[in-house]
Amino acid sequence: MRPRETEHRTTVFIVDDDAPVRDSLSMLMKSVGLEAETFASAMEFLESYDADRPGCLVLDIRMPGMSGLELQEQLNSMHAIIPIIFITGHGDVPMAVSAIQHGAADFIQKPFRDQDLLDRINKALEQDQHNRETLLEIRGIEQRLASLTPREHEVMELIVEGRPNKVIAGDLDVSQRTVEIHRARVMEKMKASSLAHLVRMVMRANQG
Amino acid sequence: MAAGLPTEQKELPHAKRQFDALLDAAADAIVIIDHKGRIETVNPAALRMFGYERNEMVGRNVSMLMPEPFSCEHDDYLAEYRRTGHARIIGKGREVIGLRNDGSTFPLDLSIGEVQDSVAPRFVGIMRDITARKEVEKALQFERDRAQGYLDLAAVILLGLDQDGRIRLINKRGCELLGYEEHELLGCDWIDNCIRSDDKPGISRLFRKLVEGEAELPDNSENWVVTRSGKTRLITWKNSVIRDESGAIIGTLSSGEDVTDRRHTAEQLRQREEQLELVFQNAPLGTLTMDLEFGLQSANSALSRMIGILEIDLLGRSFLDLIHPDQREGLASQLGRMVAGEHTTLSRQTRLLPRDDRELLARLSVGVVHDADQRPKFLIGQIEDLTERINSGREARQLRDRLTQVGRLSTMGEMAASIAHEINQPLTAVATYAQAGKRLLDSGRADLPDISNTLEQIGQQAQRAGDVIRSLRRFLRQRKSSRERLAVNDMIREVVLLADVDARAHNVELRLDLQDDLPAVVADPVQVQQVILNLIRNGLDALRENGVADPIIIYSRLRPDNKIEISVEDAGPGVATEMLERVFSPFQTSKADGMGMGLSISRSIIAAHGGTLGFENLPGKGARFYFSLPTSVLG
Repeated sequence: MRPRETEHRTTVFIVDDDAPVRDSLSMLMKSVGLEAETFASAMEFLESYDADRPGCLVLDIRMPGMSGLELQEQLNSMHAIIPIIFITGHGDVPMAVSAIQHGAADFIQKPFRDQDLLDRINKALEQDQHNRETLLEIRGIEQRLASLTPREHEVMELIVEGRPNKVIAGDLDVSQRTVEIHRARVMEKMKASSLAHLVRMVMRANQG
Repeated sequence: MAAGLPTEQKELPHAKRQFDALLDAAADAIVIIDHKGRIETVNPAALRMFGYERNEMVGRNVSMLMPEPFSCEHDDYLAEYRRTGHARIIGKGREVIGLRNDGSTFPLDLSIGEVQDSVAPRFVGIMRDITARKEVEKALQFERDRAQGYLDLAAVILLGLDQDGRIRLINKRGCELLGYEEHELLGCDWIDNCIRSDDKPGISRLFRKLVEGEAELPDNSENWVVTRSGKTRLITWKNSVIRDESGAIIGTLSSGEDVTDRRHTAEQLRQREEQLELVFQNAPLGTLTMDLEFGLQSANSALSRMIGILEIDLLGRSFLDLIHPDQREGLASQLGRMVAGEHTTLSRQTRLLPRDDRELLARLSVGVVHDADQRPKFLIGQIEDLTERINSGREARQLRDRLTQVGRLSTMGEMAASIAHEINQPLTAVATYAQAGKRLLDSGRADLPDISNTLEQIGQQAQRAGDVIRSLRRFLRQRKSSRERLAVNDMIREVVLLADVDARAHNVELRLDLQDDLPAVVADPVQVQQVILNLIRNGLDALRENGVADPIIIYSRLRPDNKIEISVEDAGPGVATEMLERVFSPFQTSKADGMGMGLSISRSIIAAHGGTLGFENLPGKGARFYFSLPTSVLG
């Protein structure tokens, strides 16, 4: 389960209407070896947004046209998982609070210390990676669940509920032997190393 | 026409003689005819009436006594009567036309009796010449028509009532006014039908008393009548009573005039006069009338106030007395030319001499009022005190300018926020470039063009920040700082007017505790008011953010060091311990959306005025911000 970096490099996406700020931020990213891409407006970013590209978004909260908060709203409605770090000006605290409530990873006030921003970016990138791994894991489980036959699915649900084979056989009106065969299939298809593992996977999938 | 006489006269010679005597003596003409209409007997009166000899009449048809077409129809009429027994005249009598021998016709009264006979009926006709009566009747009718004509022509209403109050006479004008036909009104009860409901009982009582002789009929009266369509009209009456020979009252005769419109017009005129009088008396401008020799006839209270002389003391005096001596002659000749008709109005600036010997600049407007024959009657004038207008105009303008400036200041917080943003952008870029450049250098991966480019960017952004600061300075310098002698309390009251809007919106009372008779300070009013406004707003914010609604108190005091101290006290949470050191530093704020500029700017303003701005936390709760201003010792 190490899917990233094969196709996409982790990128810091910088959206700010102020060119020098944008440019200096991009330079800061490069100085610490991070890949950066800059956008002069929220629309410009949205047009090239690719959900499969890992990274994080550094977003100016005040911009002409679509504001940072509005871009966040758009991304939320697209179920995007990219972490957002808002850059706020003086007195933008109420806006920043609202951004956090709507799922922003963090915010930082201008002017800021480079290390503070880099720390936040690193944290956001870690979060992004974690999010993507979780997402991949859930997708894998979902694929495996989809490969079960209806009968196997039925048996699996009863297994996860913790019922012994004997009881399941009674419930489904089949022989205990048949239940055992189904159970072995389920464990095999789900690549479950143990009953506990299977239960964890099913819970994971249900959460997702 | 027929008559019958008994044939057996010989048997009644006495009766016959008597009858003949009667015929001869009768004043009426008597003609007896047989059933075929032949005349058998005529008396002398008949011969006289028709102008015939007896032998010219006897034996001839009675139709000889009638003009066409009656003469032709008479035979048919007789024949019909004999056949059907249906008579039109017999036993009734009627007016018919007679034809004399000389061919003239005349009116006559004819009555006919039938004499039943063994052989055939006879008819007796008795005739009376009614020419004279007819003439009298005609004369009477003529007189009546003429009287009715007079009644109808009369422009007044003529109304005759009998003693029961019923209408016995009403002329055309009366009918028209009431909207009825004459026949609808005659016999009707006047008061019941034509008097306004409210007035009925009173008039009815008066009429009863009048008829019973208990009251005199007033010669003139006035009441409201109701027309058929329900409208009311006001009528004035001239009344007289009608008495019979014994002197008893049998009715009244009145002539009435509809004065509704005239009364309405009169009322309007009266109201208009009253309004004019009110306008005159209460006009904000001095207003006066004077005769053609400039003697004052009336003056209103505004004029009296303006020149400080009672209205009563002005009357009769010459208007020229009120004018500055230098201008009297010129004005008198201008007014004279106007009276002479050279021009109709006059409007000029004039210097007046009020009683207290001030000089008063005024605009004088005079017009001539003419009588109906276009002769000048009197002059009417208006005087506007220009000194007052000039002064009030100047003061209003000053106050407005100052309030605008103070108002502009109140947006300072917003302005500061946008300035902060403008400065933050280049500062952020500068810091980030510098830090990135340092990292590149430290990493050893940097090449010279990179570093050169970064340094250039840093320089440009620093320049950009400088530009922002410079434009801010320019903005602040637009308003030159001025120094005026100011009454501190007036300044405070002006600012409180502005701040009160905010305060009331938050249910906070602004309370003033100002010391009287403070010496003036020398200061820039706008800047000082900015500071006061800022302190009040800070107080309001502190109260609002902490949900307190206690009053904010603004003090003015003269301190022992002869400086005036102005302070603003709120019952908010006071200044937090960690803020104590930094209250006046720029960009330090305890407010969620504050800039931290207000107190910093305020302190520089007060310092520039030679005063100090300070604060203290009050025991219990709240904070007091105060500043001092030096008094204008030098005047």
